Amino acid sequence: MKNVLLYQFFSFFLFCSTIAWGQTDHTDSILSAISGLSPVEQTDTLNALSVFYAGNSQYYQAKRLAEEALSLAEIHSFSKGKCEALKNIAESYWGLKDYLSAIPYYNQAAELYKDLNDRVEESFCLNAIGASYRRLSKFDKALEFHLKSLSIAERINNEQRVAIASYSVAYIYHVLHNYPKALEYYFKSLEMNQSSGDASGIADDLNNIGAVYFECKEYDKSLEYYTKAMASYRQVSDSAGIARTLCNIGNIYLLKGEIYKALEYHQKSLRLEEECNNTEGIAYSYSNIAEIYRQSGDIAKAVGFKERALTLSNDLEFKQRVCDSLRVIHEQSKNFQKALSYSLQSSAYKDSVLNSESQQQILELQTKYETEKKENQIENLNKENLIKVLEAGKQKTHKNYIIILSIILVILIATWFSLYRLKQLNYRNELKKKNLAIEKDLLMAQINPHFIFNSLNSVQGFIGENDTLSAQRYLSKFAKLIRLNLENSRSPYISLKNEYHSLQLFLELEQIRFDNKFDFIIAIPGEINQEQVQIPPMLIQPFVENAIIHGIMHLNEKGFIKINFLMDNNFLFCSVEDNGIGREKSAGITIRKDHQSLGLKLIDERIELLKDQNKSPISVNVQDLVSESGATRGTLVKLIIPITEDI
Amino acid sequence: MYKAIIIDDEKKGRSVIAGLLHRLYRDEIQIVAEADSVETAFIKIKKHHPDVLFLDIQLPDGTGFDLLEKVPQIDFFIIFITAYEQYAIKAFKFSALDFLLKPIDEDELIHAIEKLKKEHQSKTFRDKLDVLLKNRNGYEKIALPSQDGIRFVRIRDIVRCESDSNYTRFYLIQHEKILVTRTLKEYEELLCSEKFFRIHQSHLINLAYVEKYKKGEGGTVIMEDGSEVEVSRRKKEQFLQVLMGR
Repeated sequence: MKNVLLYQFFSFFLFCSTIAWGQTDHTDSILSAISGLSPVEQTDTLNALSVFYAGNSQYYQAKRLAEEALSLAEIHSFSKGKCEALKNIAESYWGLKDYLSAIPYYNQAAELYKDLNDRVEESFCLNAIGASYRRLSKFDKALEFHLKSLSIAERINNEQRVAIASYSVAYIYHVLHNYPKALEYYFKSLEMNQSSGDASGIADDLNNIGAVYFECKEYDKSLEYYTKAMASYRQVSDSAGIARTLCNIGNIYLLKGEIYKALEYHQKSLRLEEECNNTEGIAYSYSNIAEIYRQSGDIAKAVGFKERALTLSNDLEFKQRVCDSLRVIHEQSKNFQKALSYSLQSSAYKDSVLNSESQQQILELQTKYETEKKENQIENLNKENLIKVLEAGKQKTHKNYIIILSIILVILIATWFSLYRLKQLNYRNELKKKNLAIEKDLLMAQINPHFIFNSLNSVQGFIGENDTLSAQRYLSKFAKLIRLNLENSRSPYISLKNEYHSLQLFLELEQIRFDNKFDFIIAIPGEINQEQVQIPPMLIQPFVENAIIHGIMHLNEKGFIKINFLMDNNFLFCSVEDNGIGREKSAGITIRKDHQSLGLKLIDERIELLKDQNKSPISVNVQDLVSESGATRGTLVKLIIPITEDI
Repeated sequence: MYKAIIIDDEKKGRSVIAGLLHRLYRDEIQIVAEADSVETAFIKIKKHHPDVLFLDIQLPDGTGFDLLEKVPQIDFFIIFITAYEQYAIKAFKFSALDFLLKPIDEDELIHAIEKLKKEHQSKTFRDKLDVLLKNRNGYEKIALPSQDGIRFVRIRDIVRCESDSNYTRFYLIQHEKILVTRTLKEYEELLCSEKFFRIHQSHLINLAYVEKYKKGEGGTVIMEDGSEVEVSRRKKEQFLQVLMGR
């Protein structure tokens, strides 16, 4: 009786719908039409109609009817109707692409189906939750629910549900690039579909297995599975599937360099897409065919197809990609004006994609927030339960346990914390010590005691010769240098201007001390901003000192020291050149055992240390300069210093 | 009248000495030549047969020591001058030779000239110089100034040193003792690089002669000559580490 009645209403509304197709809300008229039926029958009818409207993509109407069904079922405590209504609401939201709203309804439905022991429907709802999370790009959650669905399906031995859940799990792994896992589950799904004889399921599995092999660059295997997939799609006459597979096969041939075969497959795919009137598919095919023409050098045709793809498609991300490749094509054919215009278009699409992505992100954040809220509620409930249990049970023992446990916990945390603090403190001290030691070494290297005492001796000499003016000049320069070096040793970076001053002073003092034994020049190009360029202190002076002591000092004629600075990108190039006797000869008469190369040793250590902090290390290159006759005519030190600009 | 040669690679350095000598010892010291390298100094020495060299250690083509090794027979007194060369200063201390530091202090120069007058042509100076030059390839001997002259002792013959107020008592193998007129701290600085270790406020021992370590608060060390030396509590840990690491 009930079924007959239902059927009557069903055909009646089918008829109504065909006349009044559109967005009109039929809820009220439907409700009044079925008011004579029993509540259970009303609920069933509303649910059946909801399914019907959803099947015709009228999701708002489907949702409204399911909501009515839900309130009816709730009033009359009709569990089966209630869970069907919940599921239908969820399905309507799914249809409206409002995955976030769909999830709680699927969830409630799943729980109710579980109570009703309808495990097939429970497995379906859980899988749908997984699919919703996947749409929201929450892959961990998606995987969790798909696996839940799978385990239920396996328990009840429902081949179809196992196949679908396995396929879903595999798809998540596929998206997450976990190919071995993806293959495992696709094959599982394939096995189930084969055993239940679901040809279209088999086709999807095969196609996706081919895709995974494609990602793994196993093109032969990929081709094998795509071919099998195509046969299956043919069996069920799924044109869209065939078109997809043809396109996939075309891509393999393109990669293998078999351009004509690739073209053949893509054209076949295009024809099918055109038959099905699938705009996005057609656009995609156009773009693929353009790619083939581009590779075979037919730029005009490539551009033509790309442009057609661009006008057809509505997928922003795809449009952006097409614009990008158009830009590249125009750039290569030196048509820069067009290249520029596509570049602008591409960034416009990119912005819109980003916009929709950020909306997506906001949605994700909302989901996250809501799940967290729910979890908190559950936690609170659990706590309340715990408290109840504690109160009901042997209160005293529990209390004691809790007290002891909390004391132990507090002690553990306190110990851990103090240990952690101690470790931190030690580490900080260690670092401080290290820094101090380096600072001290740096100071020592800058104020080479040998240099200080010899300088003072020179002053004594001037005084002895009654050359007051020279003594004064020398002393003031000396004081300036010491002051500058003291300042410099305190900061990890100094301006190039500072370094220039200290080099200038140092060289002037040494020039006087060695009785004008050498001339020098420090060249910094005007375009270098000496205030802004920052370099580690005391990097150059040791090399200059070396040039004097090991190079110039042993020379019979007048010496010459040339310091050049150059800047390129973020690197400062510094060269210290002398016309001394060269390293080899100098090593033969090395005399200063203690101070010898202390500065240089320090530089090595400092470069090593600076390496950790800077992205690119400072590089030092020392070479002997050789004249045409083969004799050494000096030494050249080249430093490349990555610089930090002081803003 | 002493004939002097001033050797310094810096003109300023030479003029400082020359100026001071002219002012203080015009009648006693005559500067016969100046030199700015080992090579020119060697030629000038051969030519002038000086009585005294004012010798800077650091020269462009070698050191003052290199110059002395080149001269076949040293029959002149030497006043060493150095700005900072630590290794040279250590070498002077091992051989108990005097030296002047730059910038030159007038009193120290006077003291050096008095020494020249006293020790010029003396055997003591020649022995000290001998130790200095022999020690160039690793320290072998040390000059120990005592109340009755200078003793030249092989470093490996020293078992231990003990402080005795401002003096230091050296214990050598074969149970010989020397009281030296310098502090223990000075010898600690010189000898710590020669495998000596200060185990106590008043004890510096040659690690090569340690026979036994007896546990205690700081413990004690028994040396090969049978003497028992206390280790201070503060030094114990470091000492044991050095012993084990040896």
